[in-house]
Amino acid sequence: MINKTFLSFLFLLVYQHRIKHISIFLISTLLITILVSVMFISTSIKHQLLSFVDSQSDFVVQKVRAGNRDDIPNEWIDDFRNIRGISHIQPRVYGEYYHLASDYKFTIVGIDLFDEYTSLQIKKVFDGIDIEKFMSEDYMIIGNGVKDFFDKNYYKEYYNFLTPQLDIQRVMIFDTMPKNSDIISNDLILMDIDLAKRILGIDKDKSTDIVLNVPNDTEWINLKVELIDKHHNIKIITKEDLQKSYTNLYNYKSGFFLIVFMILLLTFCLVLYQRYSMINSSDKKEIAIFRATGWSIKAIIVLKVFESSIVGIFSFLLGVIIAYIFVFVFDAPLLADIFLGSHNIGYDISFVPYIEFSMLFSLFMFFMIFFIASVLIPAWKIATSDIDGSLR
Amino acid sequence: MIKIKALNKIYNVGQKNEFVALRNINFEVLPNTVVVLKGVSGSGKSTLLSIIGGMNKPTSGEVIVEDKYIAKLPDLHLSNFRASSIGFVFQSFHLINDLSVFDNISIPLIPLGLSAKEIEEKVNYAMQICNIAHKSMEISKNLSGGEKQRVAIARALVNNPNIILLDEPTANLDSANSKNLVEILSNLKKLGKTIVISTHDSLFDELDFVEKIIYIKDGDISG
Amino acid sequence: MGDILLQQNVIILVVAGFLILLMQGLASFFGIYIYKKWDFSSTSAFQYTLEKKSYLIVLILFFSLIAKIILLPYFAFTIDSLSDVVHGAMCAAGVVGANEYGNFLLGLKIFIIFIVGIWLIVNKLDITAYDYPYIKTKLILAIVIFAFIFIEFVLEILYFTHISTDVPVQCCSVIFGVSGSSDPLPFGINTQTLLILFYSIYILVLIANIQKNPLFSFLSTILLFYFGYYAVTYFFGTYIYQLPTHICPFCMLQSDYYFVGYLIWGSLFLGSFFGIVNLALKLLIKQTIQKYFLYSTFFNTIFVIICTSYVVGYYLVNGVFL
Repeated sequence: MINKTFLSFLFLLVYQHRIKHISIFLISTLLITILVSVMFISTSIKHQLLSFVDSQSDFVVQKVRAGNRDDIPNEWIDDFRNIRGISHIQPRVYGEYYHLASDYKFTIVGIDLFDEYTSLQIKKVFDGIDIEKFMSEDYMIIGNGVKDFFDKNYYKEYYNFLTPQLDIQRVMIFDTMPKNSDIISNDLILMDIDLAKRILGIDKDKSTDIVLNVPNDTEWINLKVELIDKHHNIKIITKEDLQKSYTNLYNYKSGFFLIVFMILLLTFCLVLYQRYSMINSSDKKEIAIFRATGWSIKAIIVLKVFESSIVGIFSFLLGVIIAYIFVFVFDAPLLADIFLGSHNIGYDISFVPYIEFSMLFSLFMFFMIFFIASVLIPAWKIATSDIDGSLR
Repeated sequence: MIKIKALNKIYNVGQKNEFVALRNINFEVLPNTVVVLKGVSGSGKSTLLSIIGGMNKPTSGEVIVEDKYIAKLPDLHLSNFRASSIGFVFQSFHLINDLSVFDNISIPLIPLGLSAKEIEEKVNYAMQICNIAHKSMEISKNLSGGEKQRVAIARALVNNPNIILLDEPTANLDSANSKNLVEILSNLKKLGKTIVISTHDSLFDELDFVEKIIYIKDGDISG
Repeated sequence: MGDILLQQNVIILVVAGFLILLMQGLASFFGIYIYKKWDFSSTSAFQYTLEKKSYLIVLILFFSLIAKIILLPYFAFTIDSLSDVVHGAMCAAGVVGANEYGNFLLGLKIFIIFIVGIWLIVNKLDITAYDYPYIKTKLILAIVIFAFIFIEFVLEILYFTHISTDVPVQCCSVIFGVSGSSDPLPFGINTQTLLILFYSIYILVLIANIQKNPLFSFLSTILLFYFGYYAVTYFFGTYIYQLPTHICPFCMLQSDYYFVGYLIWGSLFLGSFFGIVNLALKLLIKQTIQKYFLYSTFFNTIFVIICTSYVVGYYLVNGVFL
């Protein structure tokens, strides 16, 4: 029964009844636009974060004391270095610095430019950077959020940090981070490792933690054992753990939104049901004509369900397109703030287009199940109305 | 071809407003004959016609059309029956006003899964019989009464049913169009159709191709 | 506990499942009313109204059951995507085995699809007959299906709320016995015996279908389903993964293997369904449908061909077996 002729007849009827369908079309497009926008934002951020995590080291080792992280002695690096399979091992220095007056915090990351690996990475990110100049004085590279904050507080060329010993440490601004790394780097400050240790109050021969790379993943299980063997009071965070945590977090956040959406959807379904249940006499007459000429109840139900489904399908498509433009062209004003949640420093984020088609398909399937469920009873009602009575 | 036995139709059975529309109707219509059901408005002839056309269910009795007991048929079979055996022409034509003539006539064919070409052939043939092909693309609401009726007849014919049922076909026509109608009916009879007309118009009393006139009054057959 | 439940795919699965449960329940219970009052020989207006109402019941049941069928591959997909958040899981195998409910839930879902399929067939036969001969049977069957769907829903909630994101799960090599646990094949048979059984039972299925014997077809199909599962997991799968130690029924559902898992399990399920359905029909409505024997042959053959082709293909390319 469902062939090309049926479909073209269907579109003819949809057009004929367009006034009835238009309100539903607009509301459902709006709903879908909001939902899909939220999903786009979430997956875009998640994707960026996961790409970032992917470029991180395979293992992070932290010293633990009384359940909390303690600064790790640098000599432990030599203890770990000889474990088989480690291709690269390096200390990391980082921490949070509070601007007391405004309660903002930056994340300071110390980089050891004498380390070949690190300086290669830096050169990759900051094309053409003059490393020698950077190392000659107390310089820092700041994220865009930090820059905005400094500008607002009239720090144009330098900033005075207060060390834990209450000394003032002036650091000159060298450069800002590339804009497309904003999700990660917005409130980051990069500086020389020793300078960072001074400001964060970390001993010269200690670091925040140690990272290591183990290219062969079959060695990973053994590695954990051997690390603990050397020093038992450590915590090991794997890259895999990080990835799973981030994935979990973002799925969690979007899961929450989905629930909110569902409540809206339920309301929408009631509206849908009401709208299509309003069967006026001309609708009844039209269907009675169909039935009088040989259409079965089943055929009418198929017709009506398909007719409504077309409205649903097209509103979904349009909603997705509008959501795409809203998020990836206009960077989702208003909506973005809800997701990025940080009241720390104002974000000026640009979302990188990334679409999970499986997610879109899931949403589509879910939406259509509810949509069609809502129009079943109205379709039945009109299909089974009395033929003779409707035509008199 | 059509046999009605002890047919009763009662609306609102057992309630205060119980109404007997048809009472113990018995008659027969032979193949390729033209039968007229004559009676005033409210006599029950339209109800009888809609029962024969499978659009209304009797309260009791048997309705046998082309050897099928249609009173108790499940909808799937009943609708097949309506599609293949019956062509119904309504008093007010009941076209879909915003659709074209072609689309209106093709309505019975849509659920059958035919190709666009097959549908076009059948619709064109029906339009030619009713002499309405020249208005194929015209929107129905712009047609005259006579033209609308011809579209209604074409729609009734498009599936090539053996039985054509017409309910008060001349009620909304002037005399010129009524004469046209009579000519079309005569042609249909020549094509081998069985025709049942319900009417109170005396135009049908003296037609030579009408084999039988059945009088209905207050739900009863007389004469 | 709420971690998994708030994953997008899981929410969709659970909420859609709840909607279907609700619709199924309402329709089934209204169906009881129709069952009690049904009298096809009556010509009263009430009976005609009942017939119209039965249309609605059947429509709702039809819709919810089709939706159930769509949700099964979606469940498989969801489980697979959860392997990204559950520690230690590399594919669905680990996620399914994350707690004691997983395997049972999966089995129940498959069982439900089978009886749903039977309902759809009985329904089709009923509405195309002249006097709705099976209406009472299908209304009772709808209630039975509802009971199973209800249990399934409860199990599903239990399952998803008991998956821990902290405690690592076992991966397939441990579950399916490569890493040194006891012999995983049933009755202690070895791979060679398994293969002989596999192909012999397939021949039996063909014979049963040619003879058009519902009972014989049912028994041979059940055997093929059972041994087919082991054959695919422990033998044919290794050729799909091209690794003799990779033993897992779920990994082949992933994009790395071009989703061939859906084809393999899909054809096995369809072949099994059409093999058992005729016995069920015979018991329920004393009728069998000849062409289903043909479908059983067709789908089981596709299943066997796909499996065998991986082995043959490997041999042709590499000149040896694994």
